Amino acid sequence: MHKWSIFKNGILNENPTFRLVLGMCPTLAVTSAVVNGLGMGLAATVVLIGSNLMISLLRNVIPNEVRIPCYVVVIATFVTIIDKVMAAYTPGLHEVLGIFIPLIVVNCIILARAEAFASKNSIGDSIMDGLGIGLGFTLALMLVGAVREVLGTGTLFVAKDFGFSGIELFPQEKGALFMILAPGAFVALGLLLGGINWLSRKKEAK
Amino acid sequence: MAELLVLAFGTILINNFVLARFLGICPFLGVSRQVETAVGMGVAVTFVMTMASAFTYWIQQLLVVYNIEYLQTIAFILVIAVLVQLVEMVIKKSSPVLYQALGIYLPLITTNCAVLGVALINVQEAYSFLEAVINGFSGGLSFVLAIVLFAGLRERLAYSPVPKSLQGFPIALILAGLLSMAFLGFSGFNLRALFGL
Amino acid sequence: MDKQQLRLILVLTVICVAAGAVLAWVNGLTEPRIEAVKELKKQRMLQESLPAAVDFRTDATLLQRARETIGPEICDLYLGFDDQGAPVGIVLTVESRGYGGPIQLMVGVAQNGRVTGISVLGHSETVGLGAKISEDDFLKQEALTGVTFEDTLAISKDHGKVQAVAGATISSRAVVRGVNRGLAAARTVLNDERR
Repeated sequence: MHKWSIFKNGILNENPTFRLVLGMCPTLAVTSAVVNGLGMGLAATVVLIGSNLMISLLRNVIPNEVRIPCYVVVIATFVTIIDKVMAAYTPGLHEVLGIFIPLIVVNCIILARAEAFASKNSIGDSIMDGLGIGLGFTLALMLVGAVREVLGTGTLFVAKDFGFSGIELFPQEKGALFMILAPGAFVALGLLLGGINWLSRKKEAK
Repeated sequence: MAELLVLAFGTILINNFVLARFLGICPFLGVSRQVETAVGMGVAVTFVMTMASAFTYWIQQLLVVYNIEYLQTIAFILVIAVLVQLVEMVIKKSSPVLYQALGIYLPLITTNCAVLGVALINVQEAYSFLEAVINGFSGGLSFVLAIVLFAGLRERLAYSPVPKSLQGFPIALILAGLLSMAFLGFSGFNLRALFGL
Repeated sequence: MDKQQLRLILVLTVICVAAGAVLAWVNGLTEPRIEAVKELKKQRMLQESLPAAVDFRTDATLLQRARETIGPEICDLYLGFDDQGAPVGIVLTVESRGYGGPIQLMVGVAQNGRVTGISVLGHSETVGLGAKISEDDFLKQEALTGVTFEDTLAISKDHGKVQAVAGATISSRAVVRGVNRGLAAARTVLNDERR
């Protein structure tokens, strides 16, 4: 049951976006559509699991003084791998996510987990943590993406790469362009964060 | 010269690194409670971004020559990490007060998406060395502009009655959204005409 | 240098070298596929611009001549041939300076001078405004279909027939300018060929 609680922790109690407030840059930048959020989330999850695994594996070998550069090199390696794989197999998504794929290497979430968890726990636990946090991040990205995509373009799940033209909820002209532009990202995330705070306060009051 | 001015002003106002490109959000939200610390952070970031643009330009040339461009991410981030270490040492010696004020946010400049971001953008846009350095410097200035304005707003926010659920990050994000919207007004700006091109 | 420091440097170096090796291997695996994807995309775009052609070939001499006559905005030139090897037309890639940066266009012109396709390959225009230049509403409008390389296009503000994207005059002008360059280049090349 211990592994399950680590996993659940990453999605709920320590959700990187809504609780730890980490990884804000991609959360704002790639959530103009749900599918982009999903793609970014999965890519980050792969990197997170990989780096957590390697760092946990090497935790007794890496000296404390150079741990940050070592972690960064490990993370950068996984990021480059996922970057190449996406360029080869999901070119449309790779183009849309653009520089935010290599920027996964400076996504605070990954380094924070390496420092706070993987360097101190077993390989199995670290993998579960990576999976949980990664999934929590992905779900958060999808939530923000859904709000912005629905309000902004009236569609959901437009995925040109896979030939899926999405579910249209209302015609695009009636959408609030604001939501897809920069300000909309800030406001959508802020309101969602506030909403989740409100919900969790209500839960605590019971 | 005019081309470079168009690039610089375009980066600072129209393609603001924080408010339009979403780079550097973490320190933008984290170090913006007071104008003074915001300025210090902004200056440090600008310096790192300019230096990073310069160094990564040559690293990229090297990578291309030896056909090892796939090492770009590792090489860039290591260079940035070293630069930040150097800046940290310099600030510690020259201004201990600032060093204390910035605290953990100083080493965190390494993970500031704006620094690696500008390096990647320079490569993507195939800028010359001069253009890359100007882009780095302007990017830093755009960060300073955004964070200082934001800090000013947040200082005022401290006296406003914010609903409990929105206190902290939520209201800060909404405020940032309004600031970003204000900057959208620059997107109709014809800089080329302004600088006589 | 004491043993501690030596160990620090050793571990970091080993990790870097291992990382480099892994990436070199992954790069070798994915490189061919990435190149193939790029090539496929290019073929698809060329096909869209000149549907009658199945085979596309570049021609350095003609490209040089086009660039000399029209200007450096002409980036690439492809001659299109049908399955019998007969020439069906020409596709040009043109770069035009838009609002947010350069706009890459592809213009397809048949042997008889008629435009067979205009598409936007890349741009940095504003989302919701200038970005609309890549949409069918703009590119497939009446004033841009069925024109020939004898025409010179302009937006309505400049006394032409092309409907610009609302609120994006600069972006629209850039596209029209690019298309005109492409048409002029096509005129030079195809007329030369006829002689």
